[in-house]
Amino acid sequence: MAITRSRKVVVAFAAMAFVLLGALAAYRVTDIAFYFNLALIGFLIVLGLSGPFTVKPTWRSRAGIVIAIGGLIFLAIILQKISAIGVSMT
Amino acid sequence: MSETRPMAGTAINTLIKYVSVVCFLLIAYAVFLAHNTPATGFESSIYTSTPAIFWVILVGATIWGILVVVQQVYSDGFRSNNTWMIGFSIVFICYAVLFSLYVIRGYTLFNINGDTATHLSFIRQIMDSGFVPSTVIYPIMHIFAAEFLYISGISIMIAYRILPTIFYLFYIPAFYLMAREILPEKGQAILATTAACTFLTGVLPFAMAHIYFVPNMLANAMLPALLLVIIKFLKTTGPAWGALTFIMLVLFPPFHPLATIALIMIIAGIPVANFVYRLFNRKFTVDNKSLVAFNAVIVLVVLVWLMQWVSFYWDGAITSLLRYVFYGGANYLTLVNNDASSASLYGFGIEYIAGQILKTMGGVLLFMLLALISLPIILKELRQDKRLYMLLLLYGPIVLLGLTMSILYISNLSMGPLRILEYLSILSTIIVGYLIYHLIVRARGPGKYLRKAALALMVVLLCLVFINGTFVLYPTPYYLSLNEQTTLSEAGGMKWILDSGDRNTTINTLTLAPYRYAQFMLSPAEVESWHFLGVYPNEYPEYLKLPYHFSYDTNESLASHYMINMYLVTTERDRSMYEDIHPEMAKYRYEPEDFEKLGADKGLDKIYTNEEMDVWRLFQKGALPRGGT
Repeated sequence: MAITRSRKVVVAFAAMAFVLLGALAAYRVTDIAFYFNLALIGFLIVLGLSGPFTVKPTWRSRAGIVIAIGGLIFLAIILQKISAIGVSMT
Repeated sequence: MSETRPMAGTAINTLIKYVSVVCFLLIAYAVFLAHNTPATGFESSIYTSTPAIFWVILVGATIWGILVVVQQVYSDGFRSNNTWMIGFSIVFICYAVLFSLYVIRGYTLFNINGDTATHLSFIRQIMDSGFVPSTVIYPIMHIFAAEFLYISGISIMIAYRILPTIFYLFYIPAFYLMAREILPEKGQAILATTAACTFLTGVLPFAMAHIYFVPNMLANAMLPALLLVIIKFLKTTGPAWGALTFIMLVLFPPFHPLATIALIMIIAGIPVANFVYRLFNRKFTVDNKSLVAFNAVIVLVVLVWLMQWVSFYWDGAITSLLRYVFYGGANYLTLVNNDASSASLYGFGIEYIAGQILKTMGGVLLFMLLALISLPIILKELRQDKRLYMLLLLYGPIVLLGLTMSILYISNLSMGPLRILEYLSILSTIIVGYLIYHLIVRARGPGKYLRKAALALMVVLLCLVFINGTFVLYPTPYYLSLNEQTTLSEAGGMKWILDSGDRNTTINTLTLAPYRYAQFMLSPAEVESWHFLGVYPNEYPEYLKLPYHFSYDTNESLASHYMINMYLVTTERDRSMYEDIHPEMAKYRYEPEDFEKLGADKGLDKIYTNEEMDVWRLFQKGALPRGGT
């Protein structure tokens, strides 16, 4: 059975996320926010390279939900950092 | 009649070729002339030190080149032959010569008193250790330069002077290809690229900075290439442009944050403009939706990666912003007001400030004005030619960048608002290319004298922007800026004091930045051991700053002014500041006689001298004079 485009994206992202984890472990980086940011960038790149933007199969519209969730978590990380700075000021 | 037109065209093309050959020869002669007139010491201005004939030839040749390009577009000759390339080549060669003039004139060191020294220090550390120093938040330029040095084997002292030129030579063809993707007609792209040779990209508040080896300027030079790659990626279906796009997107935030912010504005501004236009024109359909729609993938990749990089240092910026929001304080507008008030105290009124703005930012402001004038024309033409839609959408990023500039003015982030002008100039230049082409098309044919006059005026303006750009490319008294040339005498003197001086003693200067020289010459640990109190002496605490007239108007000795021992360094650069740049300020600050009085000051001991620099040991009031033990 031929592997579908959406499954290829998932496999590529999973492989990238594991490689990333291994690389960060090798450099003893334990910052979860840093890992999340890199994984999000990796996911977006995999998605961008998965096909032209003009073509929009169903699975790609679902990927939009993942991007939105990723964006919200990223926003939360930023807000948390800003509030931490604000707290340290007071 | 129809038979005579090609004949006339051939005659004109032959004339163009003959005159252009003379231009090429004259440019070669001008380069030899400049090369044979090397700098022999500190020059207050590269313009007055280079033979006048050099400037006459370069400016004359460029005007000829611009005229050839405009004539070829006017006659539609660019569609059938490449004669326009001759004119454009002349403009481009003059651009390259002007960019590298300080190398041709034999400036061994350049901007060592500025940011360049710090960046060279980072590159040296990378080459020594194989790692990027933790203090560098945008290391791509440094890594690239280190690799360039390893591969080419060229000395860092040569490479740092030629790399900005290489980047800005690359900028022009990249700009042309980008313009070809945005503008529907080849003639428009040719004219836009000719306008891009007017040295506007490096505009900073009251200065130009293309020629410096700094990440911001090199990143700006790469921006058209990146935009080209993104447009190609969005237009085509294969993964090749996609791979290139993401490689460049990942490299860009660590290249320079400001250029990356501009990139985000451009990518996000286009869909905003698309949304606004289609809100009022619901029947308008777009051929390539992916080109104009909001692309969350690209924006998020750049944004997340940028935030990750700047998070290494953003604590300071966020702290100052929060402090400003919750407790108030001075913003950039306040600072501008204060500067204007200080200037008016010395008799420099609004006309003086306006003059400075026109000299340094006049070209960009003119291009922005022309872009504004073009808006109704584009809107009107768009009804007949849908290909102009991408050009119209450029107004989205222009508005966003303008808003960002306004926000920066009313905030206190550590970034000058006018630095945004660099990006407005790139976008405006594309629109200027369209406008000139529009005027050319309307002026074609017999009669239409008013339209021909408008076209002539536009060409004159373009030539004036080029001439002004040429004469502000290097720091010069013309816009009250001190030459960034670093002479070997200055470097030698600073090396002497940094090697043999007492590291617990402050080095005081008028215009030199000892910290920069230390970064350039010493290891990071040695720089730390000097305990500099600021990058530039004007950042030193008040009690350390040098008094006007070295306090000789009130004291017999400069030493009476101080309660600590220090080194005092004076150079030709200091004298030039008040003889060539601000002669009208000399009576308030430092007159030539003040420098002479240093020699007779009993509180000072001259411990080093060369052709351009004196180093004095200053003994605090009450300390033992020279010869004491």
